[in-house]
Amino acid sequence: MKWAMIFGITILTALILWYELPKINQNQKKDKYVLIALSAMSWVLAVLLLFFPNMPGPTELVDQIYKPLGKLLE
Amino acid sequence: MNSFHIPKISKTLLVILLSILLSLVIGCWDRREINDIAIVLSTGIDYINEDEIELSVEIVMPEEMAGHIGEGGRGGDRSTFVESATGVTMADARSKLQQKLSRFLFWGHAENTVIGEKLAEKGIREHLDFFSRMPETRLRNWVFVSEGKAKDLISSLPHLENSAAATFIELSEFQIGMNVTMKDLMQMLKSDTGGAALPIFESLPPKKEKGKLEGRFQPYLSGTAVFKDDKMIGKLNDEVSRGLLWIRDEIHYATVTVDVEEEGATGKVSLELIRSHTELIPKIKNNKWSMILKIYAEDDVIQNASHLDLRNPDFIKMIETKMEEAIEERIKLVVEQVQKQMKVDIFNFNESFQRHYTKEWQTAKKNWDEIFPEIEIEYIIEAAVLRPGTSTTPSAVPERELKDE
Amino acid sequence: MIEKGKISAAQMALMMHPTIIATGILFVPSISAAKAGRDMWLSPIWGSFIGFLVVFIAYQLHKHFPNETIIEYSEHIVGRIPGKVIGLIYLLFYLHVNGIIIREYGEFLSGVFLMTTPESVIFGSMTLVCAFAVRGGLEVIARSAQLFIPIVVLLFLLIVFFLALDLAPTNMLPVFEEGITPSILGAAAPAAWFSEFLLIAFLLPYLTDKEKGLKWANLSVLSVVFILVITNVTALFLFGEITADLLYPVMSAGRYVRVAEFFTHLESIIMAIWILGTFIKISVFYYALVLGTAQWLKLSEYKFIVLPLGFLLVLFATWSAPNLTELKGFLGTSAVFYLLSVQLVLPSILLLIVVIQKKVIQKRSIQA
Repeated sequence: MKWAMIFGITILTALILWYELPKINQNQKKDKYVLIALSAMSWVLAVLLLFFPNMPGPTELVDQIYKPLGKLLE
Repeated sequence: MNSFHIPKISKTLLVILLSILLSLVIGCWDRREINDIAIVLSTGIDYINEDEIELSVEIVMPEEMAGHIGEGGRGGDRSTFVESATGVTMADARSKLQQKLSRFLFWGHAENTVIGEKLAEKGIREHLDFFSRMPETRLRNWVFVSEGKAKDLISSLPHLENSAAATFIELSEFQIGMNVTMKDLMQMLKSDTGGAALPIFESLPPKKEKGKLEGRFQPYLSGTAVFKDDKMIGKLNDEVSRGLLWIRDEIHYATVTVDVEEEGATGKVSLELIRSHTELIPKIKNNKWSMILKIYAEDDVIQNASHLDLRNPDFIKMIETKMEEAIEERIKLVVEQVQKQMKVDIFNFNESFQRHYTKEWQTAKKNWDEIFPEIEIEYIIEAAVLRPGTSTTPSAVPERELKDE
Repeated sequence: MIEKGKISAAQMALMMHPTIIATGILFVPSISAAKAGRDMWLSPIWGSFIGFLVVFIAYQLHKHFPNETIIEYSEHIVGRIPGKVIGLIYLLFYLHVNGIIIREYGEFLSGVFLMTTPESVIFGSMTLVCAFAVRGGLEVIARSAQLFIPIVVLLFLLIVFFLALDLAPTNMLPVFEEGITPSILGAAAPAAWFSEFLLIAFLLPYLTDKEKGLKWANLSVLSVVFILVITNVTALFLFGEITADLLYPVMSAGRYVRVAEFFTHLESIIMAIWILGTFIKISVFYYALVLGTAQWLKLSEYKFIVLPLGFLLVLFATWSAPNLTELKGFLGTSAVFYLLSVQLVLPSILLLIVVIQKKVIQKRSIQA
């Protein structure tokens, strides 16, 4: 099942790339790299979340930082 | 990146194909057609033993309902049936109930919740949670206690409506007795000082009586159940309940009959309430708590069974005074039972004091149970008879017997 | 400039209105009620001071850098590298917060209506629709706001109107039973919501009538206060003490409507309000994220990063909280300070630096 999900995620990422890449001006190398990098990031995060759904996320990080203040409102 | 280049038409085709594929995949998880659901109208909860409750539901029979509309409301057989199951909690009983039915139970249209008398005595809080937590249910859901088993009450088949649920709804909309929705009940139970009150419904046992169809019995409002915390501790009968409505400013229909003096004998005049307003005025003087009940009621005469000629304003004055006494008497009945015997504040005195004496309330709320029975009640009742109805003199009384002075 | 579209100040106000209230009317009453109790109707008014403050700060910064967004001018204020860091903070912030908003949207939908539908599908479909709006550019979002918001507000007022008979104003009394503190504590969540007005820092440079910007932004804050106060008053008058017990008081209120025996079950209207409002809200946040990213990386345009960022947003929505209880706990506590520090404190520091810099330059020119 998980492999099917990875396949789905890959297809989705590929679809985005396939749709957007041809539209970028040939001279804009940076744009292309950004698009590929962002897509790669999404792919990696999606796969990570698939295997470790309980991985501590940004909310936990923020919560840790602001906990002393947040306690004031508990 | 020319390899990515695909002719425009095939691209459009691809998008269409993808959308079709997607639409096949998504949107089926929560699909539930009208003919897959069993619509619950009334819910009854009964006490079985320490661990178990019985959940009964009144469910609409779809064909019956449809048939009736087609035939212009024949008002014949019942259009609902009752099914029940036992379980340790409401949710547990529900799942057992679901196994007995071919359709998915749907609570979105549930209108009534009936609590069996025995269960009410054991405590109701834990069962109410089900209604506030389940996404389908609404908080506007009439709640009442049944005399006897809730299951029997929702199984009763009335004369006028074709389901018990419809009767409950009509009676509640009528506003003859207390009207309590799930929201109101939760508010009453949430307060840490007041008690709760729920209307009691009763269903007459089928007696062979002329003018009534066999096997039909009419649920009717028979009084008020008084709760302390979430347990029922007493009942008020119909007459006493009326007084409660006066105090809570919830009275909408009332017919008061007063005795009038007339040369030795007494006659009777009946008045119908048009509108009334009750105001609670709390007072704390020298650490003595008292409450002024200020009631203003407007009435019309609907029957004059005496020989008084109501064209005389003095008689109207007299009737007004009698009326005031009658109302006070009714209220005193409930005060005696609720304030002195049950000692539960279902008069909303707590809120009234909280609003007017915020500071004193902070300390008083801890021992409100002791303060409440000691509160002295003062009555300021003003009744106004606005119209003598549509006839002036008592009808069909010979002129010489009329009393006009 | 990357964004070629132009909007009017009134359109900006219309866009910002649902950006605050969309999730505000569903989540805030319950959070406020838990702290403020009977005085919850006052909380949005306290909270609005933060809103006016943020608008003021954003506008002052805008006056110093009329054609730039906060991502661009932070580099000019504190220098290139620290500026990039601040920019990154904003981008990650909007990524995270928008993820939370999409999560809130999904939680409500799957908690109340679509119980068995996978959340990823709910997130994905909404994000996709918003992606189309964002790809269309600022004008498209502005026009959809113009189209939807009057409907949203009208429907909302309609529900309040239908509830009128069931409202018990006495639930409000006594006012200030435990002093003024509870109502101020209850204002924490609304204040955090109001701080989202910083988003106008992304919209102000593209106004056609810049002189009206401040006026309309303030009007927008006022309209939000109005709706939030009505929301809280309705919830309070209807539910009294049990408001805090209900997860979505407005939803329960919509279900409570019963007019003339047959006019019932208005939850579909609440649903319409929720989806239309949230659509604008997510789009505005999404747009800020996309535009900010493009400016931060100095790209030639922003359209092509819309979809990949949308994918990331859906992932952040799933990643942002393990369950609704933790999400709501976070929104009521740490999130308040998180939102305020990024959307109020950080821009205030930027403004302070700008003002000091200007003073120093003035002094030097006088001395010279």
